[in-house]
Amino acid sequence: MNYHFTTGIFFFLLSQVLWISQSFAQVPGSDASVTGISRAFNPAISVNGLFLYLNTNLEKPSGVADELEPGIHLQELELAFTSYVDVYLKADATISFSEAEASVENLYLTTLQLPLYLQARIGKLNVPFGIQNPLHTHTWPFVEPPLINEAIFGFEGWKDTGIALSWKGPLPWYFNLTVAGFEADEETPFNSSHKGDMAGLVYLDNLVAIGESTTLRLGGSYAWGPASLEGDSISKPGNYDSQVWGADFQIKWRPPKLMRSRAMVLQSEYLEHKYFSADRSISDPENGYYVLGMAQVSRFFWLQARYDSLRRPDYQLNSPDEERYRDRWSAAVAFVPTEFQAYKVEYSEVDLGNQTERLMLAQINFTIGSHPAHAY
Amino acid sequence: MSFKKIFGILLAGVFVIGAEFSAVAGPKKLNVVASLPDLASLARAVGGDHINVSSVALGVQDPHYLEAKPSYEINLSKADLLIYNGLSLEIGWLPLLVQDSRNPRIISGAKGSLCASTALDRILEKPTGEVDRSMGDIHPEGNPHYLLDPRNGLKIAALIRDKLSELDPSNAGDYSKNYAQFETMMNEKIKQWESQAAALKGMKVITYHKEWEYFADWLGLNIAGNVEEKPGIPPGPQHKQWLIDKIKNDRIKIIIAANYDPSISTAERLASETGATLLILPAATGGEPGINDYPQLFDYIISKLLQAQGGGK
Repeated sequence: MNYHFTTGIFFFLLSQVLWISQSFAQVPGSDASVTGISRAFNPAISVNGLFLYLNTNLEKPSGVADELEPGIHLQELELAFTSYVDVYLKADATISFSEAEASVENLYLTTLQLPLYLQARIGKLNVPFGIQNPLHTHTWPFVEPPLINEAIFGFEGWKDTGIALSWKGPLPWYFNLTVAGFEADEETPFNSSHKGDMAGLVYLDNLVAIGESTTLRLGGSYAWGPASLEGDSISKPGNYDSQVWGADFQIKWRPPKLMRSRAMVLQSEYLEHKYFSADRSISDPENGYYVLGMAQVSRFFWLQARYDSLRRPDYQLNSPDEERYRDRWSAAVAFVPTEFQAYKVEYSEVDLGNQTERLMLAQINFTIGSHPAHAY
Repeated sequence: MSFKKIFGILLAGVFVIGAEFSAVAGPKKLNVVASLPDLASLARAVGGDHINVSSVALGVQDPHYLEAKPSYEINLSKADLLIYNGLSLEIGWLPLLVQDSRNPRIISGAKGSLCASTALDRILEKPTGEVDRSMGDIHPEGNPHYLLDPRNGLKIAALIRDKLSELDPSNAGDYSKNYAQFETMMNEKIKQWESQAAALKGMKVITYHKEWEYFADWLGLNIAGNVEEKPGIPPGPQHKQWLIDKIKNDRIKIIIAANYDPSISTAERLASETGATLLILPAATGGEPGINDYPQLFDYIISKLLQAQGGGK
């Protein structure tokens, strides 16, 4: 049997199989109880895409994506799934892809029926520390995270596997207290070499409605845990205690009658990180803050500005010439034609001590599919 | 003072304050939270003094685009019953509020979760084929603005009566009595509104967004087009020109916009270019001062339409 004849027989048989299977598919009354196949309970699925253009006066950018060269990049593709597991649990999964890697960003369960205003989250999640850290990349107000967040938790923020129990106090304002424990093995201030070590977290979040237009938010976060340091990063390698605390403030204004065209946000966070050695001597603190303002000036346009300041301890400096202080000014314009797409142009000047970096960023942000609503 | 002590004192303080607020709550009434002010008004009419009612959205707010403000969760966390519009109107904010309210009584499928649209026997503009976002902010389950037909409001009031009776059987008699009174009043009002609006029957209008379809269906208005090119999408130059031609050719006298619609200036320019009257109307209870309940909403809308049409005061 020659090759062409065999191929012909194969395609003939394949076409017959497909034809027969199509006939079966059209049998009236064939449903999931017979086929076992149903789309009814599929999770809501969405894809978020981020494209980034960056240019800098330096050879390589100092912050954003310091692994990115100037040019156009696929910054991130986020694939999100969400669904109820059953009457007791909801599940969320987020997988992110960049040009360099793919990672499970989040995979966690949320309880639905705990009493006494309690809610538990179990799995890998954005750790609820302050305002910036819990946000996903495509919801950040600026393309780059604040300098202090990036310095302590890394560009993507602190995400880890653990359990978070939060309690909403029955008070006349929104009061949410979260107590959590996370595995201490990621590239965060809590990276113990001992298996099973945990980092602890307490986060208190208060939001007070001032009239119908304004909401004031005040919060405080404290995290502690072990850290195993290598080399001469501080003084000597070994096991340390690591502590991070933060305070956050936000005021949001959106008048009900103009809710789609006018809004203002003023927001600030202060974070500080220290290492404690076995003899309780303390490393120089790494601390900093940011203040940002955002104004929605029309239905589609936002104007934004941010000032960042970061104080770095000696062990974070790459050379003796580097300044201990780093400051950054950023300004951005965002065009948001619908809730499913946004275009942001951002300019930053970073004082690096011995030189000034001028960074231009442009980002395209879009979402397809059924994406869950974002937290306030 | 150590961190543990500070934390302990803080926690104890919160429990004490929380207990104080629980204590001043008074005699037990059903706590009802409605997503929209019209639904709150209907619940108030049926529940009377046996329930505490609040609404998440205000009458001046566009219910598609509310933010999930945590302050809304305070009432939801204490709710025995949540009444919501459904048909995906509140999809951008209500699911988050319900989940974060930590209240198992009102989660989807619980006894205290009531979707008002289940009372309807007819939903307009339900897409028959595939839907996607190239069609704008389309609702796959159909047009969700059914509360602008008072006959639907009456059906929902009956649904609320049944639900309140289920949750609070000891006061079921009062809920039935309240509903009967409301039904009698509404039937009289509906006759009165239909009689007043007889002059509007067949009148062609342009509406900003597709929120007036049920209202037009009830009174026989003819919606000849929408200012929005597609739901939620502002008009482009071609659509604006089409609207101008349509208004002029069909001699359309009235353009209707809800007072929360964005870009009202577009409708204003359209009116000035064509000589039509732009009528900015409330689309929900509380949408203007003096509209304190659901029936007053229709009193207001119909009187304004008649004034604009020149057929009455």
